[in-house]
Amino acid sequence: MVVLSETVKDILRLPILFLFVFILVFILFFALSVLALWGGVYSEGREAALQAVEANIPETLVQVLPAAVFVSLFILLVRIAAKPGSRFLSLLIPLAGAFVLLAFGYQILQRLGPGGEAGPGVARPGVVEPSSRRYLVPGVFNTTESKVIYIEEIDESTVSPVVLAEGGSADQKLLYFPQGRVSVGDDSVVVRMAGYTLEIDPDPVFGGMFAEDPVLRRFFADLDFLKRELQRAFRHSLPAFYFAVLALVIACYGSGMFLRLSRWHLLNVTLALLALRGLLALFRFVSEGVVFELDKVLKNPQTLQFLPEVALLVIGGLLLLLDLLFVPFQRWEEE
Amino acid sequence: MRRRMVQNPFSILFLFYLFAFGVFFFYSIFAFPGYLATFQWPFVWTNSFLLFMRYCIPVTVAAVAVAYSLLPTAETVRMRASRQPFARLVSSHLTTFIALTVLYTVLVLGLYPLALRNMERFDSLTLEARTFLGKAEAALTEEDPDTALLNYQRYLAIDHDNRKVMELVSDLQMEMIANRPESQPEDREDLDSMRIKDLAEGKEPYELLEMAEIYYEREDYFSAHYYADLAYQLDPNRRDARRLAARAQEMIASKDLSSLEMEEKRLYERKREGYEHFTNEEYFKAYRVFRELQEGYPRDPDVISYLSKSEEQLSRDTFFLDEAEQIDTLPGSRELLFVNYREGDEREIVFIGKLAGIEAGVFGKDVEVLRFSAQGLLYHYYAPYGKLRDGILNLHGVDRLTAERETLPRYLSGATRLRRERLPYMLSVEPTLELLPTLKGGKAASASAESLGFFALWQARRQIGSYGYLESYISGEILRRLLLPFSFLVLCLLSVAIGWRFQARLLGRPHWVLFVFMPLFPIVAILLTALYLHAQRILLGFALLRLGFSISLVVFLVLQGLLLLFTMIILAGQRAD
Repeated sequence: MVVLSETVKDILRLPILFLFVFILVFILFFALSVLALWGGVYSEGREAALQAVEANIPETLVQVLPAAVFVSLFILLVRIAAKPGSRFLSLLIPLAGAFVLLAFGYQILQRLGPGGEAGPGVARPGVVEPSSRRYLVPGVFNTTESKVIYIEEIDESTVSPVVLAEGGSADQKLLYFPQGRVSVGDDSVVVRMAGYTLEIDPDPVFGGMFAEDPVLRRFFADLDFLKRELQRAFRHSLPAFYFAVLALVIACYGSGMFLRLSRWHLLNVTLALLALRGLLALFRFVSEGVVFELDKVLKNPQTLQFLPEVALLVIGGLLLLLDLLFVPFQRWEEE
Repeated sequence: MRRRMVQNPFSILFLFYLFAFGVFFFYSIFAFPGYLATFQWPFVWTNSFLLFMRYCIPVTVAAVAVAYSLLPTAETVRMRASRQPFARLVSSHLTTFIALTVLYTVLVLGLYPLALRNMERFDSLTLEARTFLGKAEAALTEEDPDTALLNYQRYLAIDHDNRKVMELVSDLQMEMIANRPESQPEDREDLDSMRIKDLAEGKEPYELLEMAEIYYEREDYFSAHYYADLAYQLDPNRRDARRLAARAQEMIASKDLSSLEMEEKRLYERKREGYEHFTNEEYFKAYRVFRELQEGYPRDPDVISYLSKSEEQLSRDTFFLDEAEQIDTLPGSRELLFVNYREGDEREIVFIGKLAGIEAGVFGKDVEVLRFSAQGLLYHYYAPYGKLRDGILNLHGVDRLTAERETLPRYLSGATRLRRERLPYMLSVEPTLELLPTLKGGKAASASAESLGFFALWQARRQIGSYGYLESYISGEILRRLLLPFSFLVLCLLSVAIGWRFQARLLGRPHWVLFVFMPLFPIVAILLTALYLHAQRILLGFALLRLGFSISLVVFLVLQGLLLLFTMIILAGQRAD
């Protein structure tokens, strides 16, 4: 009777908790991403900035979805470890919930963007073309990697006059150019002046104020990679996308095994967080490192394209198995 | 012992700090980036401190969480019996957390920028020293021992303990002494008694004439002529002075002069020459005459007085290169870049390679000025040195000993405009001396502003926009720094709650194996605290750009207040069981 009551409670409690946490985390991540995005395009002017933000909202939603799902799943797993109920439901609800949110949420959010109706397997067109003012501000020193450029006036594609610092010889750091032309590409911003071409990275003027700390750079790069991989799988085919989502969810759930590993709960939480971070890094390492190397050796590299997902699925499955077989479900209640 | 340690969470915190500093120290030994060997240990200590401060929040968070998660079970049982709220347990620790926050604030706002500047100093001085060494070696191959010695000595001014260079200098000096032609010893007579005893300074013409008459009566015709001539020059209407000067001249001419008298005559003539240069505003020539005289007559009051006067006058129009060159071996603000002049469509951009202060004043090195308008480039010049005084950068350097060496702006383009200026070698510098170090190389990003003191940033914020910099970056850096102490306190209290929430349910004392896992806690804390700070920076960055500095400061304070309140609620809500 007690078990049944706990089961009923779990059926109600866990999905609500998961959804509630997910909504909160999703809103938080989305709001922060939008603010950072706005900061990046702020130098283009109010109207242009609003347009750029508006155009990027669907992409931002898609971008924050996986992180929000995994954070919510982790919080739910901590809650389950602290207050364990039905083991079956504790397995089913988080796994199913995370899968549904990620797989179907992703598809819904994909449709919001331009060309979103095209569905899986079709590439989407770009959104808003950035202007030169996103990367260069008139009347101030604009810093690039090793050079500093001062531009008095910027039109859409012409700049005049231009002073380049840190150019020239040791006793001539400043170079003057009466006029130049600027073109904004995907990977660089090119300023062409008489006899001199300056190619700079497309870093937004105020991007530095919203840039992540160096210790987060790798983490964010891994998250970005995860987003791109999901996008790739989604464009490939729907089954491939479901498989990728399943692998990710199982791997994330599997890392929950560490939450019940010892009697020291802080250590458990720490190990679980490290495991999650490790799986994220592993996913990228397998995709970029192992697959890349094997591509050179194998005759049919197409077979390897889902190796990272398979690796995650295997590791996640193993962790899940260990959890079910060896780790006490009610560890946190042990005295 | 271990029991006592876990009962007091601050013992664990102290051990974490000690361990973290040890790791950073060890890392710094191997991370020495190839500065001069003399900077190795200062680098290791400074870098360890910088790393410690950079990771102080995550280390503290990890330590506090671990400490509270390991609080002994006996405490829990006792509390459980009386159902005391958890807040009562930590209330006694709150004062220590606040004291730690104050200490952290002092270190992060006060010492941290200083340590960063120290690191910049190691870098710039190493660069300078290697340049001197290169120049010295090049001079040696060109068989120019004087230049080689000068550059070796400059190198040693930075790298004092370099035995190899010391030996090189010693060998070079020995070699130069051996090659020097022997000078003839000069017999010098004591001329002190013959020197003019009085000064003309501040005297009226009639007083000078009275002095001249006294000297004439004493048959000191040189002094009589000198003072009578001075009186006449000051007041050309005084014919009596002119007559006395002529009489003294006649007496000098009629006398059969002894060698002593001849010496005095030469002294008098040189002093007169120097004086004439001085009155004709040829201060450098006057300076050189009196300086030469000073070597022979170091106690002559006229020589001393006019040397000082001409030096003072000279420093208004020029500066001495030997003084300016002293900054080569000193740390200072490097690569300053600013818009100096902005009126109508004219702009002037100034680059100063290095700015440093010595006893003789503030000097700049590698000064480059470029002015342009809508019509095109007006002028562009480079000066190797400049002296900053009262907002004017004097670009005319002279050698103290020889007229052959001087530095003037070298025109790279469009010289005509500047030559029409009334003071062609004077550059009016708009930013104040206090603001100049903040105008570093066009980089107002937080990375370069990090080494600036908090109050320097605060002062620079209002004005920096006028000199070609984005004010928002400086404001952002101010908010970022203010964020750190608040985050320290909030995260400390939050980690108390987390530590307690995820407490160890150990049956006995913690097994030693658990301590192997200790380094994992700071690793996770680094990631989590960085995310926490990053989220707040995004929020504050948005507020800053959208609402301005003052309102974003209010937003910041409200946000921190809310976070603190939220943390206190979590802390107070922790149950004893």
